[in-house]
Amino acid sequence: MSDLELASSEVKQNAFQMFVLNNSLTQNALFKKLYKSLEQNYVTVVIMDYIKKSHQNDPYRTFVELIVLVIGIYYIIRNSKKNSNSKKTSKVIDNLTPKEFENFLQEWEPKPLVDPLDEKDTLFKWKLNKQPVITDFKGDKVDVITLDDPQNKKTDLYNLAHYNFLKLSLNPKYSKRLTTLTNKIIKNCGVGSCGPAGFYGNEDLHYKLEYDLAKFLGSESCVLYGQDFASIPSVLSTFNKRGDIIVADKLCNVAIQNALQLSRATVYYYDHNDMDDLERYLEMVYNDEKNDGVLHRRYIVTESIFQHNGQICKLDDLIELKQKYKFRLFIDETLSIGALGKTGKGITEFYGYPDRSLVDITVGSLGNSLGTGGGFVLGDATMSFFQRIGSNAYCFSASLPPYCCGVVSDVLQILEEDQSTIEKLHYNIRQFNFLLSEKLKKVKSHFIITSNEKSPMIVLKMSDKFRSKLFDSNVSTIYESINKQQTKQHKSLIVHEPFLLEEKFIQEEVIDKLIDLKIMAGLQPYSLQHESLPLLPGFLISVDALMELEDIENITDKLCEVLGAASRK
Amino acid sequence: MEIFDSIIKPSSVAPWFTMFESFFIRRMKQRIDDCFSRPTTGVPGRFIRCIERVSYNMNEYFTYPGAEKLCLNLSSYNYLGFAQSEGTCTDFVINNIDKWGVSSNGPRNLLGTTQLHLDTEALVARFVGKDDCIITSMGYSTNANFFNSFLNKNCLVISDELNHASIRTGVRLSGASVKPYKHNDMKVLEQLLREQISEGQPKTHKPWDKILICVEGLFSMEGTMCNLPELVKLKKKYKCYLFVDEAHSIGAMGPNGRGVCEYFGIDPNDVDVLMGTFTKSFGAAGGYIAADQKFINRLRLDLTTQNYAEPSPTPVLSQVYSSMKIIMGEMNPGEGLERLSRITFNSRYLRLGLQRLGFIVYGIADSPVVPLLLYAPSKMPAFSRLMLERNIAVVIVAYPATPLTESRVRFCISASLTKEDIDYVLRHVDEVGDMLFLKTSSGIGGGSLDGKPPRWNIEDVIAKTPEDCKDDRFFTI
Repeated sequence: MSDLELASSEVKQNAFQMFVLNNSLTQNALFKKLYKSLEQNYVTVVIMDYIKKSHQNDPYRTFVELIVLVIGIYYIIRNSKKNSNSKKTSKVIDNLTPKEFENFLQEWEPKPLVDPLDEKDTLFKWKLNKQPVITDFKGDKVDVITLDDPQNKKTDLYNLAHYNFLKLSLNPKYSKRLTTLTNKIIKNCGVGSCGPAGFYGNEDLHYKLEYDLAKFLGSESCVLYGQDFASIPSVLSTFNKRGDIIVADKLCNVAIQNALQLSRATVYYYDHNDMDDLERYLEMVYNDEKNDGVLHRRYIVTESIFQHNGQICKLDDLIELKQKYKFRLFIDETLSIGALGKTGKGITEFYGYPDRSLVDITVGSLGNSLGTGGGFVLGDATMSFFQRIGSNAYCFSASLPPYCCGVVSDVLQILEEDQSTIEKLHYNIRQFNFLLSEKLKKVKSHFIITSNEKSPMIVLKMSDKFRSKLFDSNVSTIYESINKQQTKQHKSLIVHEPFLLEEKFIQEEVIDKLIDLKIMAGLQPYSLQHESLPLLPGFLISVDALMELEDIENITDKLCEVLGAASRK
Repeated sequence: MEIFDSIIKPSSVAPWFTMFESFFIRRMKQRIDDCFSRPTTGVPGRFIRCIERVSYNMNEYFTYPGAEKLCLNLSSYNYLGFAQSEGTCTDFVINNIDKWGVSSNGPRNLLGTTQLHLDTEALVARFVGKDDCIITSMGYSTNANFFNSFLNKNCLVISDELNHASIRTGVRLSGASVKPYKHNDMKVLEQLLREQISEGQPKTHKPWDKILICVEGLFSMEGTMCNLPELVKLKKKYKCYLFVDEAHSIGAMGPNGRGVCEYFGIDPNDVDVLMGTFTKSFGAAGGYIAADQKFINRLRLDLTTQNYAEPSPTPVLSQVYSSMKIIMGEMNPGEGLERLSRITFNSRYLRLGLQRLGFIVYGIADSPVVPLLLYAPSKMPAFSRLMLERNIAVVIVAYPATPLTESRVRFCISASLTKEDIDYVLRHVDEVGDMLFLKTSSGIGGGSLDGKPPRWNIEDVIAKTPEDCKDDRFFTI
């Protein structure tokens, strides 16, 4: 390299340096100018301030923030692209001209709101018209007509189709007291409460009843509902969401089935009252959860007296299992409050527990043994507190009529003062069950008692042998065909022939004959399309506290006579 | 606080509510709990007796010194003033108790039906103008257990976004798809209908089996009405079915109190299902579903409430029967019409009065529900406590019933209030409104004819409004 070249390169370097220097100066000036102009804008000042503060001589942090920003922008763009894509795909309106589209809309024919009647509906019509209607109460006797034959009044029937096992309001000892109390409250408070519980709907009577119920039934607190049937779905779905686990009995009633559907929890069904099967599920869930390491809310759901067959749940085993596998226990006691237990305190007293601390949620009814209307939920104070905010049927509906609360408070007082009514009921249940089972053996009846011998509701169903002889169907075929129709989602109406034919047989051969003998028994009320679990038709006889020994003998005699005759068909 | 121990302390079972789920309850609801669930006693009629209570430790518990406070009642759903403990209705109820007893027998389909049920059902059907109806013992449960008896997953329910929780529960139970539309926006509804009919079910694109439009007659939180004429037109054009929940409108709207159909002059047979409750206008409890005979026959066997729930008790049925007869003029002629004209005047007077004072009020002229917007959640307890000091019982509505930013106070008008009562309310709301800076109306929503923000003097309002409120000109919505 020559000197000249060297010199020229030096000059060039110098010039380059100068250029850089100059430029950086101008750049600085530019920045300053920019900065000044930005400073006048409030928003940019805030942003610049944020950048300055967040930077704090930590380029790593700025880098991370930048990446987060980029990912955020990318995410938004990607989403909007997806949306526009999905909109672009299937649109009928884009493929048709406006006129064609109008025609297309006109072509749509909806199905009728309910299915039109077809030939199977003779059975349906029969069932509708067989609905009994009470026209008069005469003490504990009733006058009944049916809808198809309103002129033909059947008088002075012994009423055995009810859930009011104590019949306190018909008891001559107390009927006057309860009626005067009702009149007094209505003359003081009117009939309706005219508002939801949160908005001035709860009167002092409501709070008093909540306190009384909790005290009487041995629980920490109590929440009142307007209807027992609505309270179960509302409570269970309040304390459940996706991911929580429910293990329920296979023969739970419709209210619980609705609750399970609303709760969105994972549901397992164990065989009816089968504690080994239950333990299998509990163990499975427990181990799964242990491995996952997530704590979900877990419930065992069952009924105390099963509405479908009158069995009583095994509380001892349930509590043992619940404590072993850390589950909560939910019991629907709509039928058993006031009927089971020495003083009518329900299933816990029946099994000898001093209070309800081991049962987490109890749902009971004011409409059955307690004799007015409404439902209630027992549990600890925390659960009740949240229920008053989260439970839909409590928040969004008007509270109970005040007179219902006043009357039930008085009924509870009667039950505490005088245990003779409940003792009488238990005596009657024992007698009735004993006599009925003895006499049924004698007449070789094909109807069997499915209920527990201590249940006040006696349920009778056909034996399998008889069913297959009469209708050429058995339990499994009935279950199968009901299941098939249910999976097909025939929600409009399941006209299930074998089931309805069996019901018709029971109605005509047993219940109608009993009515002629002045006894009113009831077909178990079912609406099949809402039942998602298998069941069989049957009829029920309720034992109440007003029966005398002669009545029981008389009723069981006539019952066996009719059942024996029906069994010879 | 002790009550929250169970969610804070670790235990072997999962807590009832997680910390996050209970945030609203612990941090917001608990602080204003003294404004909710005020215990009352006696009849919720023109006056309501609030039992006084003293709050401790941020509403953790209350004590009751035993005193009562007689408050003017703007809180109960006692639209026609039938919540009373004397008069024709009460006599009728007490007479019926002697005949039918107080206890319920069992579910309706298990010998729970009495002749009184059938008579009341026939009367209700005649009142609303339908073939037949079914009565259930709880209003919420009427809706919640109704849709699953005729809808399945191949059906679509198009529901107003502000529909009541019971309708939402019922539809969810039925398994049908739900598409909400913007409140009372008929254009959006039509667009949605066209789209849904043409697109069919998602994924399979099979056409829908049935499409049911669900609306409420009178929306209880807004005081607005459904646009029934337009809905009937759309329903006929697109062959959908229409369900109207008249929980608040039955008895209170229309010249003879027969609900939205009468108010708009529409044949009830154009609406497929009319549902309503007896809690509000009739001072009883329970609900009904009215439809044509074929539908009701099906429901009598299908409804779960018919088969498994307890029936309406005698006093409730008798109250419904007698109050409905009075409204129809068949019992004590003239009384029903007087009640109806009173409620119309009262609601129009209070609404226009509040609008002229400068408050923002939602809803239509004749609605007996008058919601006054507070917006800021912190103004709710302030308003409620100040009104209670002035012996007026009002309902404040917060999340979850309304959006968090649209907190409101709801005045429920009753026929048992007099003009002097409304004057009293206006005077005190005026004072409280000044204290809490609630007079923010721009006049566009109603109350001013010249377009300027109305800020009338209270004396002027009381002097002029009673006459002006009879004129539809002043109600711009």
